[in-house]
Amino acid sequence: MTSSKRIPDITSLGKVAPDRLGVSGNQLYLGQLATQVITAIDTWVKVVQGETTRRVEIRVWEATQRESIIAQRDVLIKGLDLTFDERRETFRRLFNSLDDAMKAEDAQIASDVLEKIADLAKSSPFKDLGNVQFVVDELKKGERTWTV
Amino acid sequence: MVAPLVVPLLIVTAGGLVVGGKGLVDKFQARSIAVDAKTRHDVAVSSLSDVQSVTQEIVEEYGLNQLHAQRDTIGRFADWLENHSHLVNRLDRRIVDGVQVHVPSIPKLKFEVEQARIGLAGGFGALGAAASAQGAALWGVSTFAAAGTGTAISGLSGVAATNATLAWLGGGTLAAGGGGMAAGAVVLNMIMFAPGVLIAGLTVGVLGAVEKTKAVKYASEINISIEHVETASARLLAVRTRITELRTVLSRLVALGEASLDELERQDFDPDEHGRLFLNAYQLITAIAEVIDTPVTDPETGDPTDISVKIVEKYS
Repeated sequence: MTSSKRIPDITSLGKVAPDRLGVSGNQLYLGQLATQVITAIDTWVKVVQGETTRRVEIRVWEATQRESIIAQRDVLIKGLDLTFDERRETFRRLFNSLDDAMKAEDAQIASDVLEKIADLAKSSPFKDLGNVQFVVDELKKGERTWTV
Repeated sequence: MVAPLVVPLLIVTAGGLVVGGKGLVDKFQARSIAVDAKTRHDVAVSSLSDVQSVTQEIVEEYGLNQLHAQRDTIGRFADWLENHSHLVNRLDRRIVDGVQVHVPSIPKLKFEVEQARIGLAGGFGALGAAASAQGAALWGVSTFAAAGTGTAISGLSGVAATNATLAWLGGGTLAAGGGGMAAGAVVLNMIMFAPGVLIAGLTVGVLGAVEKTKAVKYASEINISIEHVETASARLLAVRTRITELRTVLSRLVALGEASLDELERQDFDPDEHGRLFLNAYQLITAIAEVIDTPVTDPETGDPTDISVKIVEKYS
């Protein structure tokens, strides 16, 4: 009979001898199956919920980090713009003074002005960059009184 | 009559497919998130590289200005001193040759190991469930169900028990309007298949969720890295402005120094008579030397510690 090839031999199923605890092998199968399915569902629920929470936390962390970096960059760019503008104007005035001193053949003033030019050139416009975070933090606090 | 277990089995199978499908979607999204993030980082780094190339050219030009001032203007003054029998200590000043930008390498996306662990556990779980399910279902039917004749299947044995069990699973005997033993065999296979699909689907769902989180974390780290790269671009632009400032100051001092040297060289030098001219030239040469020695970036304070992209100048 061809159907006997497709139909498994299950004549012994349901007739498994009780083990020492009085539980048949197929009862154990049912217990195992229930445990596996429940464990899998429980794991899935916990993992999906946990991962969803983690993704939200990661996005919040990213937003905070980026906000901080962007704030620092904005302060940096604005600060450098102002610094370079101020330095440009100072150099212009100093070179005018140097021209005047040289025309007047005043070596002392020329020396003083040249020293100021060299000092200004040597002073890095980037020197306050290390304090950007401090300035940003102070701005964020909102409780500081700025004396102007 | 529809076999009693068909509907729940279809629901279980469909549940497994839906959860597994969601997991696959998460996995595809994870790949996409990671690839997009990497692409954006590459674009940002490429843009930074363009800014650096232009800055590099400007720095090299300034280096030539420094070299010219050192060799021609300061050197000319040193020659004048030596020609007038003075000892000269010629300093070998460093000439700036470029700027280097160090972008830290982006983190790699790793989930293969954990993925394999979860996948293996899920695979074994699905196989185990498939094996358990068939045995458990057959035990339940053969223990509690009754054959079409009304006799409890538990009271039957051998082929009769098999036939009655399969017929029950198939929704009853053909004579009673059920699917018979053939349908029962199909249902028996479904019983093996459905929990396996459910557990496999749940496993893929777990894998997808974990992978998506890792991709989101990876993308977040890259987005932060991109902000650092953009800050580095802004700082390179500031370095250009700084170089322009130094070039302007140096060129003006060199012009004044050359004019002063021209006047000094024209004299039949007499210290008493031409001391002012010498002092004038010496002051300018000293100022030129100080400007040449001035770094383009500030090694002490030029790099805020929390900015991970480093910009340092190179010297020839």
